[in-house]
Amino acid sequence: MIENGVLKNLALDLKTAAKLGRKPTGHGVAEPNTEDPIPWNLNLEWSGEKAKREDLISRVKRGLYVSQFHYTNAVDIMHPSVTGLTRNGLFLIENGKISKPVRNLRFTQSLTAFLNSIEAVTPDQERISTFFFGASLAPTVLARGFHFSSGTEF
Amino acid sequence: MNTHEIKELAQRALDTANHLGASYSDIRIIRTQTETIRVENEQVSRISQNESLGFGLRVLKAGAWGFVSSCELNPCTVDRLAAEAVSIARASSSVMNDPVRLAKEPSYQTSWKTPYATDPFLVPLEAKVRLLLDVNQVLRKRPEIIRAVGSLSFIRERQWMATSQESWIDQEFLRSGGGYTAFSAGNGDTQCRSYPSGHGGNFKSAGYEFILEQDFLSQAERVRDEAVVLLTAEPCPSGEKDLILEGHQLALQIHESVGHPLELDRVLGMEASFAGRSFATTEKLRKFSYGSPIVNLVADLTLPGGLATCGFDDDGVEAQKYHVVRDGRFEGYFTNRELAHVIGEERSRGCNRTQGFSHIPIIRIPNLSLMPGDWKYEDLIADTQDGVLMASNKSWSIDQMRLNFQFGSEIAWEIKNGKIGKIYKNANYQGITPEFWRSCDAICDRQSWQLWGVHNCGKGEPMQIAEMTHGNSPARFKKVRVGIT
Repeated sequence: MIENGVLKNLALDLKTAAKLGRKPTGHGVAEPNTEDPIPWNLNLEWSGEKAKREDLISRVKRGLYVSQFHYTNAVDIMHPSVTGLTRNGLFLIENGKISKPVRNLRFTQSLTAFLNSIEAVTPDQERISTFFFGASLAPTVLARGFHFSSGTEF
Repeated sequence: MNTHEIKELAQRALDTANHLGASYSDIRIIRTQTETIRVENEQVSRISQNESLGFGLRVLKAGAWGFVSSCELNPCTVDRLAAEAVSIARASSSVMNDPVRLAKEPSYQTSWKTPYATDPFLVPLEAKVRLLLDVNQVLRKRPEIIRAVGSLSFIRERQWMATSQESWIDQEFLRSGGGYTAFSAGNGDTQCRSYPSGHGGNFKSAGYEFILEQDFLSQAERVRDEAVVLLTAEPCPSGEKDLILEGHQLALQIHESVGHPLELDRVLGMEASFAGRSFATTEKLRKFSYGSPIVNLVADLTLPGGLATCGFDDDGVEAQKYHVVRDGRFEGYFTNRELAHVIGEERSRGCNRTQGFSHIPIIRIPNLSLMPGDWKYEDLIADTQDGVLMASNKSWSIDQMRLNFQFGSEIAWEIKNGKIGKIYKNANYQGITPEFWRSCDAICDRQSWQLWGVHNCGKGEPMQIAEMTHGNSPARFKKVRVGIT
């Protein structure tokens, strides 16, 4: 889908492929579903480097280690920016080491800016179910300048 | 099957469970009929008509629940599954901390039915399709509208419930709703506008008369033109403003920041691994300021037209009306028979509901409304010096304790020196639940009070969908952070 940072392909079902005059990529969602015909089920995986999670943390002077995001939703689909919160463990990184747990934060962040800010991707990936259809394999990534927009009380 | 046969089968299930040592059992036999019609760009994109029939049997044995369900309504299956339910309960009891204690409830032999004028399933399909296509045609009259969609949905649910405590409750629910959206593109942007709201429109416990009352066609030109104007509108500026929320946007605010946090099962950690818990913990009950003194939030399962309106919940508890927030003070939870005792209450509030026959009932948000204040809408606008008005929800996100929320609307208007001014696009706001409700300083009167139905509230693992309504009139919140980027 994305090669060396460049978007190469789109997920297409029969309907969207016909519209673009291309071959479908097999991403149609099975019926019955709550949407009309729609390409989904991306089942994305990443190609990582040799770096380990600890190596990524060691490259951060002051930053945050995010275990999980929660309740993400689109804010402005053209940029495209999304908002959401951290969950199940947010940790401060100081001088290349995790130093302490901190309270959860909300982010409001452009996804393409985030992808462009990624400096490292681990080859180890975890299977994550998405909320509606399919699942993806998610590595640990090191991204710079991620925009947290507000805090919460726990 | 006729009612007599259904009753006989239900009694057989209860008797079998009782014979095998169950201390309590209930059975719901549910027939669900649905119809959904959708159009997109002047073509019919979906007509689906479904019907399901089955039973769900719940038993208590050794203090633990066992649940089974099937679409096979015959004595043989009922006998086999009743035994299975008792075995599941016995197995569950081996890993249980506290035995289930059910709050007392009288037994009822009665029936209840959604009042309606016109059965939507008897309205010719052609008429329903024509209505959506006519709207679609108006929406598509401007070239900036690249996609126009519309839909109608109808659900009829007949439910026979019998309990081992001798209740026999026969209910029929009818829900109708729909709406449409125009998606525009141009000026390097894409926007949308909906009527009566986004997320599939508005829904009510009613018949086809509700669809006609909303007069879809009368608003199509306005919705289309607003979708086009949004393409060149300024983005909502960032800063602290007085925020007026109305209609569907305020309904979502009630749903996410009052509804879910007050589900008692969620408060007690039973939803923790999925959607989260709640900041509104039990020691705060009757001791916590949830909002300003003008904020009154009422749970009402008797609300005419409410999507959750019923005679009885799926515990067989009679529909009730009560304050969860009175004059700003936190006063109550949504409960069921199993958990009422945890907060020292002797009777359930009647909020236990299930999706169809194949799920176990869980606590759901009932109809929950912000009660009207005494402001005329015109006076509220005239009284606002530096504000933003937001309508029709587009984006929503809230943390797992239901504190930090950030919601966005399809459209917003500047309010400057008491007058509604220019349109803003990409408007959103962020707050912390109790701080936000404490900043509410004006609520409009009953004249602008309306019902907004949520027809797709997801909860539980496996997920169940439930419906509820949030009545409200426009309300103002002081110094809210808006325009988050």
